[in-house]
Amino acid sequence: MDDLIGYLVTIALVVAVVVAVVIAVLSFGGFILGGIAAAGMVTGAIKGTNNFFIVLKEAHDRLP
Amino acid sequence: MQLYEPQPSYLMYAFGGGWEVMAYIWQNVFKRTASDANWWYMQGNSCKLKAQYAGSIPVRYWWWSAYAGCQLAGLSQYLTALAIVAAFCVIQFLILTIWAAISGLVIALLLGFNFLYGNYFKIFFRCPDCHEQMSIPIYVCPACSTEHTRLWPSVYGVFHHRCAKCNSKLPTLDVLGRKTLVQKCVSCKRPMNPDVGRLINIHIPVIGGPLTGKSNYIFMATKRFTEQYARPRGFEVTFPDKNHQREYENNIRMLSSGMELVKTSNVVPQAYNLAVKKPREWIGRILYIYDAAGEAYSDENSTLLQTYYKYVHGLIFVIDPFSIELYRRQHESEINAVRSAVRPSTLSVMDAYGRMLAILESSIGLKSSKRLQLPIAIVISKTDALGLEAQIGQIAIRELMNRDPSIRFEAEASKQLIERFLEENQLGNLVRDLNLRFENVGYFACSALGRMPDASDHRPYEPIGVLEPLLWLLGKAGVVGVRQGLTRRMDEQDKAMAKTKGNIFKAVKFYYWDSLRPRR
Repeated sequence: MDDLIGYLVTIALVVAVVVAVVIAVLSFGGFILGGIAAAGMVTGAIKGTNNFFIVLKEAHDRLP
Repeated sequence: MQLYEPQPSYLMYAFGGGWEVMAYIWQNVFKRTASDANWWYMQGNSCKLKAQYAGSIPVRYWWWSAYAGCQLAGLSQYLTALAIVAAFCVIQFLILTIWAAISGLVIALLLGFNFLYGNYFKIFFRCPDCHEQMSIPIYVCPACSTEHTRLWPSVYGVFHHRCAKCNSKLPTLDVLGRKTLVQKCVSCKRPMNPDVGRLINIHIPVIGGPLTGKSNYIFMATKRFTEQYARPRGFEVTFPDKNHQREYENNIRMLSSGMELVKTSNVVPQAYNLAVKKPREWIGRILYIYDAAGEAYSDENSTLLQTYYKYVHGLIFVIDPFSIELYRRQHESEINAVRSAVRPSTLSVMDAYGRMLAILESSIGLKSSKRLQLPIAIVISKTDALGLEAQIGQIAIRELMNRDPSIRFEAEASKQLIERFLEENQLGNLVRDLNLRFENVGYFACSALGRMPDASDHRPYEPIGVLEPLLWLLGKAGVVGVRQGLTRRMDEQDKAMAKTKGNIFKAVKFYYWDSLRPRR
């Protein structure tokens, strides 16, 4: 009985470790994805605003 | 009247530039965004490549995550730009719409005010040269001479237009300085003096056959009006056109040296402008005096060229007594003796009158059933010759008024004398026709030179009776208050007469009853 429990605990531990590793792998992927996307959004906001003002100035410079 | 005619000016921001900015931003912000987004897509493609060649599944998965992140980052470049541009466009659209609406309203108000002001005070842009009436003249840019045909509040600017050639700011309203710009006629392109379109128009043609003495009359009457009437009463009389002033001064100099004026040659005359402003008057008057050569009334084709008749406020019809057939026959030997000095007009009075009526019919629709309100002054000229002064001139007027005290006004006496003179000389039909067609007919006699011309006599010419016809006409046109002056003078005479009546009851009866009794 004790052995059975021991096996089950071991299996549970192995499963837990495997699940944790999978979750960690998946989370790291999500982190990479999210991080890059967030970086893209931030740079998008900064560069977008910058581009907008550059073009706005160009547009007014073109006016007589 | 066109509200929006292309002009060599820049459109207002709310009607042009603002919308161009919106379009330019819409077209160009995304081009820049595309290059930023492409950088992320390139990074993503590199991650994708690495994911395809990665050994282990997690690493492959991570590269694929990085690839997806880069795609999202690239997309977010567009989304952010789109959000900024959309917000700008909405705000810009609202601002431009409100701006355009407010400007449109102000433009409509200013144009409406200008239109009503001009029509109420009868202020019009009429070319003194070609007689064309225009809604607005051509204004010339002082910096680059570009011609602006619609320099008024419009989509090019409410208070100023900006010249597209030299970038100068041009005011659209007289109060802002538009009247200081050179203005030209839209038809003949000649420059017009700055008072045209700013003062109340009064148009007076001087009509008569060749050699009736119209030009001499005009300049002498102007001189008398300026010196003897306007100046003592504090009127401002100016020549808005420097050329007219020069011409007037030259002609007066000639007349002051005993020389006659050169015969007018223009069949279609240039109006001679005179600005008249009474003391404490807000808007003055601009007189357009037309001196067409007598030949203008010699044939029908020339007569029809007198297009300015549609504007007239009064007429001065000059009659040379030596052109009256019966008078000429009766005084043939006397006239022949002074023929070179009096130079009788070659056109008969009735022919000139008939042609004047023909123009009035074609221009203002003269009807036989209705009398014209237009005042007409009938002026018999050259009264210095053959004793006419004693017959119909100032001497005769004074004699008649002394003989008949019921005649209170000189104009009344003059009317009686000249009507009788014309009737005696077989021109009764002219008198009857004038009374039939015109509500206000004044009869006057004058001598523009005051004596017969003599090449050896260099004394200044002293005119007789030239002011009265002009004053009478200007009084009828509301330029001068002749009637008030006469009434005041008559009242003073009545008061003086009342005092001579002996007792107070007779004086009061005379002043309040007898003097007010209608005479004829």
